[in-house]
Amino acid sequence: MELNELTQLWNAPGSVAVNRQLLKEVTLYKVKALLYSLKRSTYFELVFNILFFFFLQGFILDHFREMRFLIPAIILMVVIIASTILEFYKLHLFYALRADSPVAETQQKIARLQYLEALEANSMVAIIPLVSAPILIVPAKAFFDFDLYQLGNWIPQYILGSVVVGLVIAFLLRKFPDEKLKKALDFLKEIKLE
Amino acid sequence: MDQQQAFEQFLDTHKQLIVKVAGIYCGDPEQRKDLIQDIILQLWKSFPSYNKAYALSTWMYRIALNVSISFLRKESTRKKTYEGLHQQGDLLYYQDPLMEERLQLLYQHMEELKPMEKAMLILHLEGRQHTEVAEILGVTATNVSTKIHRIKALLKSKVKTYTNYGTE
Repeated sequence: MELNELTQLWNAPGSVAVNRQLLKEVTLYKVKALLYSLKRSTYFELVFNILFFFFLQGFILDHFREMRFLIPAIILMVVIIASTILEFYKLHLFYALRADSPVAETQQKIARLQYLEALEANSMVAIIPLVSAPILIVPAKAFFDFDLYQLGNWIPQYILGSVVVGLVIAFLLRKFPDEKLKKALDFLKEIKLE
Repeated sequence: MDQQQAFEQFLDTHKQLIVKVAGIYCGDPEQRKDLIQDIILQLWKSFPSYNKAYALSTWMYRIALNVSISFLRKESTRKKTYEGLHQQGDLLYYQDPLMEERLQLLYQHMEELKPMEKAMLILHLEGRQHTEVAEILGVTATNVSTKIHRIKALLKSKVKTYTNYGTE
């Protein structure tokens, strides 16, 4: 089939009917139409991150001279700041989405959102070992005034265990790659038309 | 004329295009109905904020194509939104089943194209100039020319393969 045949087929007259009654009903109500749905968890994460940020800020100020508590708190703070920036960027992309913008621009934003969501899930592989010990040490000290370092040599073993868990997850992700991430990357490549 | 009537009139003029675009991006008839609803809802949602700086056709093509390309990426929310609507019929439907059959043939030829290539081909078949296609899609006119050329070659080779199979 040549292009002119396709054109003929495409432009052949056909009779399409509008269901006017249904259209009237639909347009009366608030229209639910979104190009992309952002998960509620993004907002929850953002609120949690902000609250946790202020908690950590207070903790750091209180334990500024105690390296054993300061370092885990700073590790958590860095992760929280990075995560908050990512969440804000996602919200920015989401609210900048417009259905009547050029197709490549809109689709690029959607693919980037999907890519970020998938990447966020995959980054857990590195984040789990990194925060595994600080996430126990800091709250234990802050809420119960309990020093977890007193429990002996558990930290290296615990972190090592988390690294193993992280590596297993990384291996599984490599073996069974995230389809969403792959699709988003492929699509980003495709719409990069130049 | 109020907004509702203006929209009805607008939809009446462009209804066939919406159905054809949905057909290209969605092979499954049930999902296609959802896609048509989705395009119409997004058009209605964006109708009050239509920017007159752009041609109405540019605005409509952008929305129809953006919704179509994004459509299959949000399956879960879509199911919920249209559960109620389906009980009351479809917003747009073909009165002539033969026309639908002929279009199916055309859709088969386009199936292997990527989403942006499909968009280019649709606009080309609609008789849009390369500059307008570029404006709708947000790419350069040169890019459109190159891609259209490639799509034509691809369609030609597909027909050749199909013919060779038929004669062997």
